[in-house]
Amino acid sequence: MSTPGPIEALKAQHKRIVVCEIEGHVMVFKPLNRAKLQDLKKAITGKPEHALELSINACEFCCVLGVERFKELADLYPIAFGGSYGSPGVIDHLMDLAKGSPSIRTE
Amino acid sequence: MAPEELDELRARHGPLTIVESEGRTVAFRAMTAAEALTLQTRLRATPELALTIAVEACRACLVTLPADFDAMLDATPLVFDLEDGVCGRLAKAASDAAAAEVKAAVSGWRGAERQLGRTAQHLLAFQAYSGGPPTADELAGALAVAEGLDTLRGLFKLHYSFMKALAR
Repeated sequence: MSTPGPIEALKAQHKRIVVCEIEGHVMVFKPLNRAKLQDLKKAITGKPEHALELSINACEFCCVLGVERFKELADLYPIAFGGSYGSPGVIDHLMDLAKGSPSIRTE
Repeated sequence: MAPEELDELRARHGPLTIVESEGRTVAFRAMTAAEALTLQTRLRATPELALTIAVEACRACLVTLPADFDAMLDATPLVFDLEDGVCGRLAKAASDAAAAEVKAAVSGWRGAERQLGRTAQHLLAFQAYSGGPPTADELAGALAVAEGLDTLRGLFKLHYSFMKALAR
């Protein structure tokens, strides 16, 4: 039986992950937990002008594979991580994970 | 969750908002107008704590197992958020219900202009009001009293103006 690769192992550990490849470098992000999400929302509400930086920091917090080049790549491609100007970044995919795809109905 | 369990909860609490996610089901009773007002007040005071406040508001309306709620909250915290989430849906429903009650009361109050019996009915209901969410008749009575006081204030101002003019 072949051993699972690192991405499969991380998916088994965290159940849901975001995988991002930039310049051939693969990074994996675990979901934002409730506490981190609340901290992020609180910080952005307090300083909306720092939303991009705060979102990039949140991505770094969630990075569980490939973090060694995170700062370098985030400097080169900030919107790929923090999203902005209508372009979704890793943070938007992490937010989608935090929303899930629930069925909500009133009856 | 079995349909019979939901039927039983519905019979006890009225209409339910049911959320199904990743194999779990949680259900919420309707938010009251007072709870919706408290939610808005807290959000205005501390908007940076919006997610925490929204989660607490949802938890207050929960009618199923807290363990399922906590598990869903850990896995997908934004499900219970205000924007596009359960809290937003509960708050809007409460606001719409309150607006409909006020509309019915105002309609009753306006319609009573031509029916003195209805005005008397509203005033008696208002007189008997002892707190809690008002009925349409109690609210119409409050509006009739407010209108009466407003008319009295207008008459007083007119009388006062006459007296001032005579005193010159």
